[in-house]
Amino acid sequence: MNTKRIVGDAIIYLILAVMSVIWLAPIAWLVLQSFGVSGGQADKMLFIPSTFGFQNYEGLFINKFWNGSAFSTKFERAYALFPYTMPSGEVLLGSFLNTLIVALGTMVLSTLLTLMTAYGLSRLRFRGRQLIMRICLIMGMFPGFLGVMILYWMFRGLGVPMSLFTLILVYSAGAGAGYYIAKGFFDTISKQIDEAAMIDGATRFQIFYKITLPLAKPIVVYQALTAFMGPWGEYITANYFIRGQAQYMTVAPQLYAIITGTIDASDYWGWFCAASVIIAIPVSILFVFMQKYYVSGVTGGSVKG
Amino acid sequence: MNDNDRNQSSFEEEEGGMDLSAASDLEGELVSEPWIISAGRSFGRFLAKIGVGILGFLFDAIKAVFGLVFGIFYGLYALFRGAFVGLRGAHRNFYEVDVYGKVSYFVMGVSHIKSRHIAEGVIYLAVEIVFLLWMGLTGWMSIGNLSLNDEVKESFKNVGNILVLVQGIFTLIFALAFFVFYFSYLRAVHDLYVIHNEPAFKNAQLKALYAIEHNADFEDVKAARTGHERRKLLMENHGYGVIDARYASYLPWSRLDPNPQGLVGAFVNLRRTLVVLETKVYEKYDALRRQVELRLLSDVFARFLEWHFVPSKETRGYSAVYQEARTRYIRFIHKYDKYNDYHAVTRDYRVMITLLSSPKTIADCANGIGEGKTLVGPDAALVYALRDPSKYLAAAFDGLEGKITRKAIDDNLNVKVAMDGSLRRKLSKIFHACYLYAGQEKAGGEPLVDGKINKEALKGRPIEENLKTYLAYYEQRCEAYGVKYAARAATSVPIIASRLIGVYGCSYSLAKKAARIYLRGLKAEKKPAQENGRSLFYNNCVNPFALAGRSMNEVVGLYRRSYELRAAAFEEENAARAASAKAVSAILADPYAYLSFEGNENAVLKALGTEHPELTAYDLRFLRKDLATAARLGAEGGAAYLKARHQESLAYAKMSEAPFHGQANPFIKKVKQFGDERFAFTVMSLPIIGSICCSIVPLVISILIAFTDWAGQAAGQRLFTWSLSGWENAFGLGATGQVFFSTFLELLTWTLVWAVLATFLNYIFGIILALMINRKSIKLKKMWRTIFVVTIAIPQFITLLCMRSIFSDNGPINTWLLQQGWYVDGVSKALGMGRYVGDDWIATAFPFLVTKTGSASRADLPYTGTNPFVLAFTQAFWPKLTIVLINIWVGIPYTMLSTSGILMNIPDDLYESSQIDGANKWRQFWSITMPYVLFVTGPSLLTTFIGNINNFNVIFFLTDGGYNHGGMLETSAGDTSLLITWIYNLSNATPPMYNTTSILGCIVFAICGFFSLIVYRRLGSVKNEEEFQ
Repeated sequence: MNTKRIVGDAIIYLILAVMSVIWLAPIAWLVLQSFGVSGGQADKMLFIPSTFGFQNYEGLFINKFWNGSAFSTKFERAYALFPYTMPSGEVLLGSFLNTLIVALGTMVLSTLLTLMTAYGLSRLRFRGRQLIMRICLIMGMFPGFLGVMILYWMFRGLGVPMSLFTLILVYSAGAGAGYYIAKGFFDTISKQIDEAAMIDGATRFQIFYKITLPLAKPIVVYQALTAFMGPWGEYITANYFIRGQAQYMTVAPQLYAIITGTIDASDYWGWFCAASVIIAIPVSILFVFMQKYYVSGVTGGSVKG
Repeated sequence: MNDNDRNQSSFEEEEGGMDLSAASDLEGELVSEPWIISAGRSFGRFLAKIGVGILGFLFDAIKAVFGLVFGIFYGLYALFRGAFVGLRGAHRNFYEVDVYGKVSYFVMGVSHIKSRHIAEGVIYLAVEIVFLLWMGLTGWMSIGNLSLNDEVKESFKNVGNILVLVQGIFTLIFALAFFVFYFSYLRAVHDLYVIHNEPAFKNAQLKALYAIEHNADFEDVKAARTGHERRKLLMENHGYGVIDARYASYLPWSRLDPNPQGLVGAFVNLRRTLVVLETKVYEKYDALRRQVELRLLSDVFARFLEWHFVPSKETRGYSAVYQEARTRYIRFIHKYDKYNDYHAVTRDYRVMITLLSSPKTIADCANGIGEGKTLVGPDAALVYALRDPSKYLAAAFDGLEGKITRKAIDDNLNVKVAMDGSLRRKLSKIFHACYLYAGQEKAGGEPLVDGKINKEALKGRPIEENLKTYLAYYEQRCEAYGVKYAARAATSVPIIASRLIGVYGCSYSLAKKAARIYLRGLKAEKKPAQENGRSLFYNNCVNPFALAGRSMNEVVGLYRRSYELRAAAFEEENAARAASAKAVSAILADPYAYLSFEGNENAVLKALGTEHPELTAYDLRFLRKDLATAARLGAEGGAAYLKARHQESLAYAKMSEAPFHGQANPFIKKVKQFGDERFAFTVMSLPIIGSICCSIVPLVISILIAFTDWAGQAAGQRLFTWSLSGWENAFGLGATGQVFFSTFLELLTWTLVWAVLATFLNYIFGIILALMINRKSIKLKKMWRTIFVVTIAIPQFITLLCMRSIFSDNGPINTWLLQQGWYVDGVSKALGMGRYVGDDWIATAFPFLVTKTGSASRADLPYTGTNPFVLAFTQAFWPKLTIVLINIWVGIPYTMLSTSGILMNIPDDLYESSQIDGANKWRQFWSITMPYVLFVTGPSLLTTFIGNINNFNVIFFLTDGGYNHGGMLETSAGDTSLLITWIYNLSNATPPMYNTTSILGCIVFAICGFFSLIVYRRLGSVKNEEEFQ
């Protein structure tokens, strides 16, 4: 029996080790590549670059392409990662800061909307509640991209200027429809606490603010985390709304354009790797540290379906 | 062209191109033609429009009707009429005047401002203006869209496009809201009807109508010049009520035929019909309510519309019916509110006086004297209630006669004891439990274990014992609370209030009020004593400024006095009203005594006033009217009429025992309600508005666009027309249709295969990974978990793009394979790895991922050989396999993370007992682990599945949708495209195919809906939502 267990353990350790290598190798490759010196296609073919250096990162910060020769106006304007002053004197925030602004705005707005909806649907009983839940369910089945497309033309028609704020609005306005997980979590909080508070003289707003929210801390963090991480990887909406206005470029369309050769991919490979690392670092650290909340949010919220 | 322009031009290329084509479109239309041809053309276009787009025509027509009716006709009409009424000061009955629906918010606004409710007034006015603008604009634009007039249409060309749809949808929402309001009125009326439907009243009404009908003599009214005069005459000479007179005065009197078959007769008949109709509706209310309401609504509404468009002699009356119905409803609602207010107020006064008559009891409650403990919350209230069973038990079980059901106990508690709602529920639950347990077989054991009630042990014990157990339980809990709250107890309103609820069973709001008064006394004592010359009472209420420096008992006494005064005043007023109502009916019982009324009204009224001091000026005014009518109508009809009026007034007298003394809801109170009773509104309004504007409306539009010709033209720059051309292009019989359809089938198959593989492989492998990491003997669990979590912590598009580079033609893997000589020896050739041009093999790279824009590792010429590996490769088998594998790489950690917690919750007993029964690990996994995890995560599996059908990111970032090998594949699609990727490519193509994308979107929706429906039908957790809470 004991030997059987030891053998089993050994096999599992082996499998886990192999899987770890498979899972970490691509990321290690990306990080190694970002320190490559040749920058172009030559290094991409190798697992470990031939020579190491920080040119790619320098390129990000001074916003000049690493070898200086392939300096392109188009590149500057559309693909600045960090704040940069144009030859014309115009200051661009760069896609990193743009995305950060959008992510923070979306985090605040959409967390608020989601929590409000979830609380309303979980705790309060009002007419049309079932209807709202049903509509949300149906809405979730439409490819969201169609709505984004129409929304773009609507904004164009109404003359709403496209800006980072527009992007925040588009990301968070419909956030209420994604109430499921938060509602599931609110449902698990005992209603007797509410009743006791009501007898002690609390209004519903006070119950929400002083009792339910502190108890629902994991789900608040979870919602904020997912809302913050959303814009970092969002492509379609950002691409649709900012086209023609490169000063509002966010990271996902930018990196995609580089890798697919909208600009010369073979020259910008090192730049891409360095940018990926820079973008991934803050988000990844945040996620790893907030992991606990993520898990408790997902499991706590989904227990009741 | 400066730098910026050049940079931007590449982004705006396609839009610029479309602008041009739009312009040429316009020019084509503007070529001058003979008028007869252009007229025929526009007529033909009109016909074609009806023919092609019945949907479009209906949509526009509804918009036009609502816009015009409400905006131009009703809006402006009501605005002027409302202004007239409002400014003349006759706004007191503005609710009753409000026959134009919410459109006459103008009147309400004016009257609110007049009575110094400025904020509300301004809001009403603003709402009115916005509403008018919206409706007027809608109607106006809809005319343009109906193609009735090309010039009008032309003028909207620049603001047309999607905005027309947006506006139309919002108009429909408005129309829907109108119906909702209407139904909510009907419901409220029913409640009122139950309260105040007196047969005597209805009979009196019918008789009065009869009298009027048979004595119709309206020559004087007909001769009157102004509406106001007419109304006055109707009221004073013909016994019309205020409202009836108002509506009757709107009739076209100059063309009036005063016989009962004429218009007046019709009006009278219709009024009677209405009364009968109402009766019928409500008699069968419970069974047939909805049907009758619907029929009534459609009937009245149809005629109401008809009346406006065909203003014939016959149909005019229906409008009056409609208006009258509305007025009645509104009046009923008004009275209902006041009636409730009155009862609440009197009850409050009485309880308040009792409470305040002994301020010491409140002090006792506050300080916990005599109890030795500081108690708080619902538990404390329960302790009090259980300690004094004589008070509650006797009340609760008196007359139950053995029917110990929860409902029976609830009802009895409800009637006998004024108690807080949730407390009552708890108490009745305890009583019920005690009774139930008393009847069961004795179980034995300790009833109270570790501070919790052991329900098993309660069985078979006497009721009193069980009650004592509950009492002990709650006392224990209270002690725990007491330690926490001891410091707060003496000066906290909620704590005092909760004790008052417990001790006196008074309602929550009252207890709070009493506690406040008591605390106010405490505070007043602390201030330096001073003699202020202020009056103690103002309008029967305590003057708070006069309280400073008085002792606590004095302050509480003052409040008691104030409540006594107010209650007395209330009773007095009540009595006076009842007396005057009786006096009126007494006078009307013998109308002949006053038939010499004509000519000396003032003298008679004066005499009446002295004879019956209880008559108010208001009553005298109406008596004057009634008596004048009696005198005018002559003996027989007059007698009948007066008898009817007498009965009516008797009915009113009966009702006047509960006269309507409500106070208007102050604005600040209404605002505060949004934090409490109407918190749902506060919480839900913002998300709902956001979702409607940014999700629902765009989605509805995108469905509608499937039925337009919006493809290839300057998107968004011109008006589109309703048409089915998108469907014809997509699924028609022509060559495009066939290619499109075969592409659709191919991509649909791949989408479904992909969704199933991506969902279930990730799910199962993720669970297996979680099981491996969670195995008891495995060390460094946290490290293993973190390794996998790192991959999902990185934004997904980065990992995907990284994978794309690794597997690209010149990525490290292909480079390594090349270095190892894979592409030169025979093995790779036999396996078909490499590139084919026709049947010739060229060594380059293995097609792990074939992207749209990357180098084509794909055969440039069709391959005609039979090598199965190469054939698989031409069918995009390898890229698909790679994508699924990469997706496993991406997705497993998610499943692992979310199922770890669930796996740890599975009880070990299950595994142990199954092991004893001889189950092996495999069996345990499929019979214990999977069902358990599935039960918990089942619903989220569906969401994942639908998410995978729409999984744009993975496919797009890895392959852009894949390489297009031509043939029966539409140019915008690729080998590995999902439907959603195809939709994206179509909408980004030049020209963009917006209507086709909408069609595909609808199909995707239908697929997702189909799967959801199947799953949700089997899920209990959705149906029994309440049980889970």
